[in-house]
Amino acid sequence: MAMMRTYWLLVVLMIVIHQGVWFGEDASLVAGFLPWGLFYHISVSFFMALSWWKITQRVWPTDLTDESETGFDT
Amino acid sequence: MQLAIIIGYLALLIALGVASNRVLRGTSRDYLLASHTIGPVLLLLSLFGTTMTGFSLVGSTGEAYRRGIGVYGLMASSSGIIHSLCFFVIGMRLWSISRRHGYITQIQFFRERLGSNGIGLVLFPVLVGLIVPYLLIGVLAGGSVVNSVTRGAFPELFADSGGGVPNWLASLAICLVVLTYVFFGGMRGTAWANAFQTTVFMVLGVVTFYVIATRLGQGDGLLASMQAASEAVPREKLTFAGISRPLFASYLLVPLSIGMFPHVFQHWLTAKSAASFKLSIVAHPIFIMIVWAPCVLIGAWASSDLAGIPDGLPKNTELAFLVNKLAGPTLVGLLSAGILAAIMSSLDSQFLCLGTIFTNDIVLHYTDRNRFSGRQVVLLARLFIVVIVAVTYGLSLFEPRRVFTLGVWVFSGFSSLVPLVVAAIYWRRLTKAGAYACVLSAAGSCLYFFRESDFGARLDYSVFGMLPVVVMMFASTAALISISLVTRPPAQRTLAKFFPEMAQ
Repeated sequence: MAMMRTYWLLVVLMIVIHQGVWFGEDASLVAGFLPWGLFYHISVSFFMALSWWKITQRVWPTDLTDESETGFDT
Repeated sequence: MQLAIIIGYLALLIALGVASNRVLRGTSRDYLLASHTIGPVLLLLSLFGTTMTGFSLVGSTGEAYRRGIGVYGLMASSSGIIHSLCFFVIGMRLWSISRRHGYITQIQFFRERLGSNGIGLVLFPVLVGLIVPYLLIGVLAGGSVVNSVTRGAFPELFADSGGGVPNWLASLAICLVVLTYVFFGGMRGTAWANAFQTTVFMVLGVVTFYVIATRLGQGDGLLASMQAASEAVPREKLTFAGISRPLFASYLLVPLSIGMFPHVFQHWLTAKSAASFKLSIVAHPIFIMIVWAPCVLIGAWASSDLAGIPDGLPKNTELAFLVNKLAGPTLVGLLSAGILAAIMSSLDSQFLCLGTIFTNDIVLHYTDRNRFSGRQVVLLARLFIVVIVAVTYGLSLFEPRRVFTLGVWVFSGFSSLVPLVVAAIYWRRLTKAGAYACVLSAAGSCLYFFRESDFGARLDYSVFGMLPVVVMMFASTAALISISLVTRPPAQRTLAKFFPEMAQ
């Protein structure tokens, strides 16, 4: 149960990070070529991949059908 | 030269489809679901190839050209959260339920879960009605790309289309190629082709970015060129200017559409095991970033004077224009093949899934199933695919809308159906009346708002400053919950079948 709570907290955190920081008028460039807003959202993509990796490690469901159970062929 | 490379690439895809036909087992389950043998890497590549369409490459560049880099936040990073969430919360569960009960399509699942035959007749036209415009996105984008990169090559033969292969002819060729390898290879051929095409468009996408980045800025080296290109971009295109906070928030609902795409459902079912999903869930945000970030940056650069985009350039051709302008003929051919790879890797799955749901949910469901052998079922699916390709191609000849705009409408329609699938998996109290109310509210509100926007012509159309998808989802969810609560709960037998933990 605690793990599930952590999972949902991570999902909420991803949404907050995606929505919460705003670069409305900031036109500055990272390394002289990458707009800040784009740089931030690329970083967000990496954070998401890391979060999903954590989630699949910690709260992988155990009640899913085993691969040996198959449907029927027609 | 570029046309020869494109033709060579298309021929290679046909060969792939024919080759996969040689390993077909002759059963409908193998043709439609590759006998559930797809492992993690192939699942990731085929799922990703399926979700990346003309919308992602051609549409994203064109939209960034007009609106700036905020497009990445609107669609790409939001998809990183939502797509993986849908794989985890919806995809794996549907895979498990479908493996247990032998389902091939979404409609089969909903019919049994709701104990209602009629839900299939309501869902079928809605799903087909939404997937055909989605197909149009690919067909339109493919035609415009080929026309753009071959412009000037045939000044006498194709004088009316700027000396390039006309859109109608290019779209026809693309439809026929996809039709051929889907026809022969089924889901296995589609999965192979998708994996191959995903690799092609990701590798060539990086090459495209490198070529455009170095040649557009004309600096001393890659970094200096990119700096020069970015400095020339109008300031507002480097920001989220013009995108309000409510609008930005409402775009988060658009990627939810993946939870109800029938072609993605079919790809989910090809998975060998639940563990096959892990790689897709983790890598999806990174793969989206690899494709979208360069396209969005190129789109922003295209808005600068350095790019020299002429006024009145046809919709969805900004990326192809830059490729044609900045690369040599061989590279143009290869890069165009990369763009077409992304487009076709979605078309194939969509064509196949329409053939699947027509065969299983209409023909086999309403006739004596034992009348047809496995090979006849495959033949039926193939014939319906031919019809759908012909209809889609016919529609593509009418006035095209902007790919991005058309895409957002289609995705919004699918998103408003997502409450139904979530409730079907997790909410025992869902009733068939609630499901009907949800589907009809989603379809009705989608049609209403689409009409209000002059059928997609009003590009800035919004409701309370947000995308109409917010109201559409609210309407479908409210209808689903309220009607379910006031109608008779599902039978115990149905609940025991779909919620076995309750029976224990």
